[in-house]
Amino acid sequence: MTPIRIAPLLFIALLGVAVVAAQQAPAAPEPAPAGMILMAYPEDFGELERPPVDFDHARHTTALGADQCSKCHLVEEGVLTPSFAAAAGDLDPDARMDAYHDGCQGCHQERAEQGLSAGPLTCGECHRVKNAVLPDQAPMAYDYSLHARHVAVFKDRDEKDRCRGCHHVWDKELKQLVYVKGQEDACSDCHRERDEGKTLSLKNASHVQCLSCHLARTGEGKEAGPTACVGCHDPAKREAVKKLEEIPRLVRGQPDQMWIHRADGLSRLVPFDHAAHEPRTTFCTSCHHETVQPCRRCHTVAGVPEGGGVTLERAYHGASSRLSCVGCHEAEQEAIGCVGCHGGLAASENDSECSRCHAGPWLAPGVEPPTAVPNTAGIDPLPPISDDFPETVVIDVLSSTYQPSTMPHRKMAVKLDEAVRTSRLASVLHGDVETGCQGCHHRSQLGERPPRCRACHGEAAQARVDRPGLKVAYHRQCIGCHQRMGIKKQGCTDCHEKKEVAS
Amino acid sequence: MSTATAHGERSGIFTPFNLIAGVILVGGAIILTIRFTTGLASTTNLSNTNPWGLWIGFDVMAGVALAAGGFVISSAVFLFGMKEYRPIVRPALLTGFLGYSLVVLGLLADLGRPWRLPYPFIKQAGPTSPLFEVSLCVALYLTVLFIETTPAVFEWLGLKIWRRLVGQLTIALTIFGVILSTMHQSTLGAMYMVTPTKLHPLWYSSQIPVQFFISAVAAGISMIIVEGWISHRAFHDQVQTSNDQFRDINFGLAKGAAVVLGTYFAVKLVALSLENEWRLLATGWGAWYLIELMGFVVLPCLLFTVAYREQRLGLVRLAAAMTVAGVVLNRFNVTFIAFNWKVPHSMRYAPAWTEVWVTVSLITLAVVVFRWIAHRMPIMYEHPDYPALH
Amino acid sequence: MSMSRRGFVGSLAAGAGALSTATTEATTVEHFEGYPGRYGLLHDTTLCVGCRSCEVACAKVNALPEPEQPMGDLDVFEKLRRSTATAFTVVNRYQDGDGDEPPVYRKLQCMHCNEPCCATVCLVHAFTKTPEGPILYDPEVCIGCRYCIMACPYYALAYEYDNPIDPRVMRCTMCYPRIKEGLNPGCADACPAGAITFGRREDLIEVARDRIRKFPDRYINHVFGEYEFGGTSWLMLAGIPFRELDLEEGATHESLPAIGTSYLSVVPLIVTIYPGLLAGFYAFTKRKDKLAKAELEAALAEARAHGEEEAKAKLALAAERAKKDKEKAVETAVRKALAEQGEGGSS
Repeated sequence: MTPIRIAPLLFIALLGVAVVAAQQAPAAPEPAPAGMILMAYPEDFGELERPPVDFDHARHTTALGADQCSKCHLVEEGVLTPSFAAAAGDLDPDARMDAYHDGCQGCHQERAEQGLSAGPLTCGECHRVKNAVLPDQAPMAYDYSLHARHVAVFKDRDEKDRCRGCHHVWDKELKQLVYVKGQEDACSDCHRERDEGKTLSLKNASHVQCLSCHLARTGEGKEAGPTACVGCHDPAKREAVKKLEEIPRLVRGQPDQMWIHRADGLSRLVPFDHAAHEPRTTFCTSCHHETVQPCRRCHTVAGVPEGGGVTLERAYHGASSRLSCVGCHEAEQEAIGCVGCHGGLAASENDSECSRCHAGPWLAPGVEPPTAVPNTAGIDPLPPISDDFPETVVIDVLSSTYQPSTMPHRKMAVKLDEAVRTSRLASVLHGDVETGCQGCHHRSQLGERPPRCRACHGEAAQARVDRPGLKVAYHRQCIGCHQRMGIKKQGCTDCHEKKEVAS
Repeated sequence: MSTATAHGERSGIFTPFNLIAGVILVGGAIILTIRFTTGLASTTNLSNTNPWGLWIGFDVMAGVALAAGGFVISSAVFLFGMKEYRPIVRPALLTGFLGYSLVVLGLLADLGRPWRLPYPFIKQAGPTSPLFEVSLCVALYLTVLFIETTPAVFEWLGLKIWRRLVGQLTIALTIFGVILSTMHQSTLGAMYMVTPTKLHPLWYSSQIPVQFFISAVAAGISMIIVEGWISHRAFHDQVQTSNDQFRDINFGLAKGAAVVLGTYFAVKLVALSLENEWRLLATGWGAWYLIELMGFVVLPCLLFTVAYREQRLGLVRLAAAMTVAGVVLNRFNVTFIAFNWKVPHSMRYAPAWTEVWVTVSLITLAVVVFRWIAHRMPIMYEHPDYPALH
Repeated sequence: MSMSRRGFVGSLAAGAGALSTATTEATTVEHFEGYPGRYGLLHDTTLCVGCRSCEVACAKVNALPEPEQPMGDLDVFEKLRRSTATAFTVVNRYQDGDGDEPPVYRKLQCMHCNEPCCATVCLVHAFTKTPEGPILYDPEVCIGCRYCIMACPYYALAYEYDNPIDPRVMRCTMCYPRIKEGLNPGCADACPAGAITFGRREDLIEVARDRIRKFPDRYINHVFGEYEFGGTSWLMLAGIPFRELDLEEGATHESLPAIGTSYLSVVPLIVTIYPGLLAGFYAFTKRKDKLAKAELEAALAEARAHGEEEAKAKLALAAERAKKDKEKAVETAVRKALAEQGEGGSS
């Protein structure tokens, strides 16, 4: 066969190659099925050479028997360490990989030799989750209700044992963990991302403490927490957990009212009502996110690595994080009663005056601050109906296609005012009743009778200053607010009837 | 009109060919009448998303490419001295002339206001437009082809002085023809350089002008082979070349076509490399592109080579037909198949049957005129009274 | 005047320096930013509520029929529409609202590009980019080739396919007559949500950036039309990625005319180089023919000359042989005669 005769066959072969290549287009990634443990562990292995392994734990417990946990797990004095025992501890990636391989494949091989049902032995049969999307394991989160329920469980124990399970410190002399009252910290204060010597990682510590207790109680037939991964790590399942109606205040020596201050007097003192803020959070960690220590312990004025480079000023004022004062306050503005006005304002227009929070005295260095007292100030009531505060306003300035619109001015003001009054936060930060008017009567002097909209908004838009024309100004203010507040009146004829077209 | 041959035999007016051609032509005339009285919407599937359809895709784009044989053969014979192809110069030029006339007729059918066709030259020019350059070159080239066809007419009419005059223009016209052909063949491709978002990246390239020009040369040569195949049989009593001579001509053309197709393939690969588009070949469009490239460029190239080496005329003709189909397919791809490839399915274009009928009738018209001329004028043979042109 | 060598060289250098500054100024490459103060429009799709008042207003201002589907008809959004020969602008819905997120609409029309490819590709120069910004179309010269419609990357042009007498290309004109009078385009005035702002293009870019700065969560950080394909007069802001609004994301900043007509610079080269080149080929062919002919004649002449010489030699040889033969014959005859005579005399 001369080369030239092979040519047509070559062509067909090339075409075939092309068609086959087209099939190799990467498939869409699929999430790991629920209940599987996806063994990827990027924190141990870094970038994987082979696809992760999907480990069916339930299948293994069924195959081995529910009492055979010690085959893979370390079980000491009834306490089960949930991680794979052979691969635990300070191992380098290769040694860890070998531990898994020896453990898994070794057992599979044994069972296969004994003629029992066994798992795979070849690489590709285990490492098969291509394009894996690591499941969204939400970190476990505690709240006051859960804490109270756990406290109730242990309330019959001796005082030094009651809280020791979770709140402990290492006593060097006694060489054991002891409970010290008043020094209860969050778990993450000591238990970090990785095992550090004997201090387990947060993941391992939580699993050891929580799971073994839950398992034990379940074994004894008592009411217990979840024993499966999804029970704690699935946000939906967590939502379904029972919540106590009345939750007693979690006391750890915190003050009721206090000053937020620096001893060297950088700014006016900020009165902080700790007791009033507590019910607005889910747990201490809502604000004390890394540790129960005060903010300034890690967030220094200059910014240090312990604080993630976040300066003290940013820790209090950073608007983008819910952990800061200003950030949480801004997030609260998304409540239905607030978002009508606040949702439409640009970030820069939304800045409240500093003095609303910085209401305390200047403190000279070394001088003790006065006793902090709760803020009982309220805001003045709405004024009576007058020319300055009309019952209704008829907007007839542009009426051409539509009839004039009658706006229930007082009704709207009362509703918005009520939203302010019922919110402690709003009342304090507004400070006075006129601030609430600024939502619609923007960019005008506070306390004075506001100018008419058409004083600044001409009929045509002014592009250079991005000021809409009068019609658009009305629509954006009114309809925008209605949209944000979920008020149904958003259509044209909801506010103004259509004019009869002259024939 | 009877089909009188040069030898005076009359075969009657109602031959099967004439009847079929007549039906096609009459149908085409009716459709065009409707088109000119009610607008393009009634006889085409053109839309605002697809303003160019079959009439541009075939009549203009493919038509110009297939008529390229004229300048290829005339330059080969007159400029490069390949005298053995002299017998096919006149058929090639006639094919070219009728091909370009078909282009202009198709264009007249497609333009919104065809009576304004000369506007770019007489009213207001838009010289920034590739289409301006194309129209200028096509107009001039059509004139060149017309003049190059007149020697046969003058011989037929016995106008010796006129014949001598146009004969002396041959070299200049051939040079001018090559210049014009290079420009407009490539610029037809360059017209698509302004649509990078609408033409699929496998067909869109900064080298599209070069690709169009080279494929036009290949199409021209193949069209000559196909036309020669038909003419040799239809005008058998006129041709003066021996069978051997005819075979040699075909094999020579096959060799040339193989080289051109091979060059074209290389240019296409270069274009793929420049834009690093290799992974696009693994998509559905990539498969279609490979079918066009492998099945209608590489395969005919190989077939031409095999046919030349083994002296198989049938294979030459098959390869030529495939090349013609391939160039037509390429022009269709660029004009409306791979063009607008991102547009949703409901807005894509497919030709209406009326568009197909008009295109077929234009082709039929060209064939009928070719027959009429070739039966009467010295196209397939050399008139004994006149010296050979150069 | 005597001059030292140093002075001569020095004055040369000074002269060269003066010349070089002059030439550097002359060779700076200029970049045309567009007519200053030209107008544009800013379309903020986060504000568009899909009421289509702009469609109604556009039809009114341009004396076109009112949109078929009235304003309240939401079914019109089921399919994506494009502008047509009787509707210069349409509003499409690109994302359904799903409770939390509001639906997203966008208005389509001619983008009045800074460097319009429709104007470049028109072979009768029927389009003009005015200094005020709008692109104008002259139906008096249009031949209906529809290259402009084919080229427009925004599918903004439409054609009157059902018109056999004077079909025109139909597109948004940015209300050029109104702009000249100091009015706003019809759509800008009509929009009740303020999604269309008319003003100087450079101002609108500042306004758009300002809005992004003030509401970073609301907008994608990009003003579409600022640079895409050389920039357009219609600028867009959006809260969802622009490709979901059927707009080309990541388009080059190079204008389409620059991309599409760069090839045309080759054309003059072909016209200037090919004649010489092809005439050269012809001359080479003729020369080859002539040489071949001369060689043939030389070979023939040689063959002829060679043959003549041979023939002469043969003739000489034959003549000599004949002479010899004759002499021999004469001798034989004489001998015979003598012999006969001798015999006859003796008896």
